[in-house]
Amino acid sequence: MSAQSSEGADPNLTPILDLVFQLITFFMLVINFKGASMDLSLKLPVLGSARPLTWDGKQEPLLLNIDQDGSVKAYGLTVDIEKHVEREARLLKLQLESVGTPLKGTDLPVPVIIRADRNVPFKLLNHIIDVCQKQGYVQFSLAAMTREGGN
Amino acid sequence: MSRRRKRHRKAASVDLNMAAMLDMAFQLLAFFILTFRPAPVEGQLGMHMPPPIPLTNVKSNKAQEAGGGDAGLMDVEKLDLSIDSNSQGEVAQIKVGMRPIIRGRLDASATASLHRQLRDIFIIQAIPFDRIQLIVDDRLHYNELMKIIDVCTQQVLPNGKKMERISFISANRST
Repeated sequence: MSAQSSEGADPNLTPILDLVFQLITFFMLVINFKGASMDLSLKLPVLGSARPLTWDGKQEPLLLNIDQDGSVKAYGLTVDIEKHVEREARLLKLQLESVGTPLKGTDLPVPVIIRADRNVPFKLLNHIIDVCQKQGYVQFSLAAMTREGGN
Repeated sequence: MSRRRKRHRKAASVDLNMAAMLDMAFQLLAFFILTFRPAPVEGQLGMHMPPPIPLTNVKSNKAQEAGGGDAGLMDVEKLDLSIDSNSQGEVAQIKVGMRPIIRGRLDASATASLHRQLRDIFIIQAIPFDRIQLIVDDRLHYNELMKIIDVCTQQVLPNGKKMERISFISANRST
């Protein structure tokens, strides 16, 4: 009896390690790094006919989050819309030139994804689209939830 | 003798320390759990919207008839859809040209009615509409606008393609 108590308990950790590794694998597979660029607090409009964006271009689309107050956010930071879009357009042009596919016209070959709160007035939305158009963006994707409460 | 052999085998077996590996695995797990955000069920309405350019205002009698018969209100190429808003940012009235086609809030039945009326306009093969211009009240909320855009994108052109060319103009600016 005394001999048994002096030996430390030696649990088999292999099954728990297996389980933990399986959980890690699951979370690694479902992790969504693009989610960082989205403001998930926004209440998007609900539209059944909205479809996931099929974009197979090499350059990332320009994503703009617009909250109810009209402030534009990119990666969680409030940005000045004119400066931000101008900078993104300039970087995109440089990027396209560096990979040997300079622009043929003035139209940028990358869409702008607008994630606006459902209560954003048209005046503000129109202003943002106008700013993007001036920089050469012509493809726009207006984000919406495909069902209520799906966020 | 046999006892001595058994003891010898035990001493030779490799005994991995799992605790350290488990610690590391738990740390990784904690990181992934804390950074986990389920992807939202989001979709998009894609549109090609070049900057506004002045259009040649060529009119046809049939196009004017479809828009309510008001001269100068409808071009051959684009269909003007005016959207008035109330103070809450909801749709108050929708007009094609100067002819009101929806009055009051844009509920499900009004949306269906808008769809029907636009389909009737687009079905006239003689009028080659290939784009819709939305003349929108500045106060209109994005939610309401999206409902109308949704109806517009469901329209089928005479060539069988879906309507993709939609542009916006502020009603407050154009008037």
